[in-house]
Amino acid sequence: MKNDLDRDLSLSLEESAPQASHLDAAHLHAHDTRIHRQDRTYSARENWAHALSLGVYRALSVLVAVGVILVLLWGVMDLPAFGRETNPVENEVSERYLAQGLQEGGATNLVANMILDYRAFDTLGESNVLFTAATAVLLLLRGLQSREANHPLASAAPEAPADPILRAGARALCPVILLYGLYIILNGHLGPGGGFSGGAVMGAALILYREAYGPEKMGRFFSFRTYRAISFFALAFYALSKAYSFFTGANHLPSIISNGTPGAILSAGLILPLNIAVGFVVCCTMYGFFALFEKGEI
Amino acid sequence: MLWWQNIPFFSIILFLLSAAVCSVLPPRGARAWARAVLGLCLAGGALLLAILGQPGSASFTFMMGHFPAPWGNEIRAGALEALLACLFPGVMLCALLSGAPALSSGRQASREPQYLSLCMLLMAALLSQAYSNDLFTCYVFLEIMTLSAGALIVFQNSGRALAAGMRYMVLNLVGSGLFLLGVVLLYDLTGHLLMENLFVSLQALAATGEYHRSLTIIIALITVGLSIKSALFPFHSWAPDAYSSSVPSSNAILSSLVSKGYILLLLKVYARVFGWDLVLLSQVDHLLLVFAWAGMIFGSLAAIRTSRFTRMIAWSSVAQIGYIFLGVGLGAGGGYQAAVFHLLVHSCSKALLFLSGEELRRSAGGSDSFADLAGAARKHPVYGALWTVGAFSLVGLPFTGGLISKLLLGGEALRHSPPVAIITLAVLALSTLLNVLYFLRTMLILWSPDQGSSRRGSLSPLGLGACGLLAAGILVSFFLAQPLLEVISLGLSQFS
Repeated sequence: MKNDLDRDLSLSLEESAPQASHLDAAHLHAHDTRIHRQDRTYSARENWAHALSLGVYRALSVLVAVGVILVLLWGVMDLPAFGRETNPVENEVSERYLAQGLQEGGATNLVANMILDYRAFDTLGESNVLFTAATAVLLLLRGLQSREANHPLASAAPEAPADPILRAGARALCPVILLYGLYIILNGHLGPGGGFSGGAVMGAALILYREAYGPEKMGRFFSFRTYRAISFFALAFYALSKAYSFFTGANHLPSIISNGTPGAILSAGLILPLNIAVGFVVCCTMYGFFALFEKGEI
Repeated sequence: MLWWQNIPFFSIILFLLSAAVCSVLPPRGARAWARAVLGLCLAGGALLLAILGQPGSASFTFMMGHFPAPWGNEIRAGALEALLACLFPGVMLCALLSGAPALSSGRQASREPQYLSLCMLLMAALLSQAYSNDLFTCYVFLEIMTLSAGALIVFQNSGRALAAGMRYMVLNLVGSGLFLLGVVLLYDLTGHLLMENLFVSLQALAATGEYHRSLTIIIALITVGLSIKSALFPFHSWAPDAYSSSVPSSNAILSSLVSKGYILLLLKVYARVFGWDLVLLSQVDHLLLVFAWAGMIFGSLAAIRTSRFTRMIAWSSVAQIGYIFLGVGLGAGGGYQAAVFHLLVHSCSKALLFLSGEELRRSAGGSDSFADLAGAARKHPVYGALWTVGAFSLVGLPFTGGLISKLLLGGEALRHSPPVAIITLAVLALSTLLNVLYFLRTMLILWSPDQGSSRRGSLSPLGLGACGLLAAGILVSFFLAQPLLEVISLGLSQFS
C-alpha cells in the first residue's frame, strides 16, 4: 500500500516539475485536472483508505520510535559508569596520547597531536567529507536560478536594500573576526583551537561581509574561481604532505619533517600547515554552502 | 616492507588527490584523468591479487604514519581485499566508460568534473572500507560514501531524481547514525577501535558474560544500520527510486558498488570484531535470515508488478541483496563465502543490466515502458545479447556466475538445522522461479519481432568494451569458480 503511494507521489512530482516553455493553455488545463484528481486521492477527508493508511502509518512510526528509545535507554543503563578510573577507555591507548604526545607529536595541544599526527588518516578523510558535501551542494544548486530564470512561474525575489547599520557593523567587525579565526588556526598546535574551529569563524566573517555588501562586491575578491583554487590547493597539499609522511613512516625511511621546540610557533612538524589547510577547506565550505543556498552561485 | 605493499596506500591517496584534481580540470581533462587513475588502480589491484591470491600467502598491515596500530591508523590487505581492489575500480571504470554520453550531453556537460570528483571520492571510500583495520576510519569513509552517492542521484536534476535523492539521504543518515551509535558503545565497553583489539576484548567480555545486554544491542544497532544502508528488506523503501531515477552510470554505481561497500563492512565487523559465535549468542542471525528470505520473495514480486524497465532492474536488486544477506546469515565458513561470491557476481551483473539496458532504451527513443521497448534488442543485437547474459546470471542459469552462488547458498543451507535448511531451499526455489518469470518476460519483449522502424543509433566502442568486460566477468566467475572460491576462502581465513 505504502509503496503504491510512494510511486504515485514520485510520479506526480515529476509531472508537476516545471517544463519551461510549453505551458500552453491546454497543457495547463490537463495539468490542473490531474492535480485536482491527485488532491482527491491524497485527501484524508475524501478517501477513507488513504485516511486509514495514514493513521496506521503515524501510529506505527510513533511506536517504533518509542520502542527504539526505550531499548537504547535500557542498553545504556548497562554501560560502565561515567568517568571512573577503572573504565575500559582508560587504557594504554589514551595513556600514550597523554604521556608521550608532547615528545612524539611536538604540539602542546595534545588533541592536535591525536587528530593531526597519530590519527591523521582519519582527519584526512574528515576534511574530504567536507569537500564531498560542498561538491554535492555545488552539483545540486549551482546555476539553479539562472537555469530557471525564464520559467514563467518563477518569481524573482527582490533584492533587499542595503542596511546602513549592517554595513557599518560589518565594516568594523569583519577584519576582527577574520583575524580571530586566523589566530585560532595558527594557535591550533599551542592551545585550544585548530583548523576546524578557526575555519568556521573565518567562514562566518565572509558570510557577514556578503550579507552586508552583497554578492557583487564579494565577487571582487572571492569568486567561484577563488573558491575552487583554495579548495584544490588545500586538499592537494594535505593529501601530498600526509602521503609523504605515511610513506616514510610505513617504510621506516628518514623524514625531513622535524618536531622543533614544543611551544614555538614553528613547531610540531606538519600540524601547523595541516591546520592551515583544514582551516581553508572549512572556511570555503561554510561560505560556499551559504552562498549556494542563497543565490545558487558562489 | 616490500615495494608492492605500498599499493593499497597509494590507491587510496591517489583517489583522494584525484578528487581535488578533477574538480579544477575542464570536462575533457577530468574525464581522461579519472579514467587513467581508475585504470592505474585496477592494474595495481590486479598485481596485488596476483601476489596475495597465491595459496599460502599471508596478509600484511601498513602503518599510516609513524605510530603503530592502536595509536596510529593502520590498513591491512589480504587475498579478499586484493580481489575487491580489482572489482571496485573495474566496475567503476566500466560504469563511467559506458555511461559517458549521458554525463557529457547538454546542460550536464559543465558539471561533469564535479561528478567525476565525487566518483573519485567514492572510490577512495570504497577502498578504505575494504582495507581499513580501524572501525572509526570505516565510519569516516562511510560518511563520504553516503554523501557522494546521494550527489550521484541528484546529478540528474529531474523531480523524480530529487525526490529519490531526498529519501535516500534521510534513510541513509538514519543508518549512519545507528552504526555510529554502535561504534561509540563498543568503544565505551572496550576502549578500542582497532579491529583486532576489539575482537580480543569482546571475546574476554563474552567469556565472563559481562555486558551481555549492551553487546546484543550493539550488534543489532550495527546490523540494522548497515542493513538500511544496503537496502535489505524491510528497509528497502528508498532503493527502487534511488537506483532507477538518475543517469545510467549513477544507477550502476549505486546498485552495484555502494550497497556492496556497506555489506562488506558488515561482513568485516561480523568476522573480525564480533566473531560469529558472539553473533549467534545475540541471535541477530535469525533476524538476518528472516529479512533475507522475505527480501528474496518480495523484491521479485515487486519486480514482476512494475511496468517500467529500469525500475524492474532496481527492484531485482532488493531481491539480490537478500541473497547476499542470506549468505551472511548462514554464517562463518560457507555462508560468508557464498555471500562474497554473490557480491562479486551481482556487482558485475547489475552494472551490466543497467548500462546495456540504457543502450536498449536509447534505441527505443529513451522510453522506459515495456510497450515501447518491444524489439529493442533486435535493433541492437550486441547490447541485447549482453543484457541477456546479465539476466541469465541473476536467474542463475548455467555458464554464468549466478548459478554458482545459488549452488553455494543451497549447499550451505543443508548444513543447518532442518527448519532453516527447508525454508532456505524453498525460498531459493520460489525466488528463482519468480526471477525466471520477470526476466523471461522482459527478454521476450526485448527480442520480439521488430515493429517496422529500421536500425537506429550508433555503437560506441568504449561503451561496448565496458559492457563486454562486465559480461566477461560474469562468465569468468563461472568458468574460474574454483580458483576464485579458493581466493575468497583464503581471504576469509585471513580475517581471523
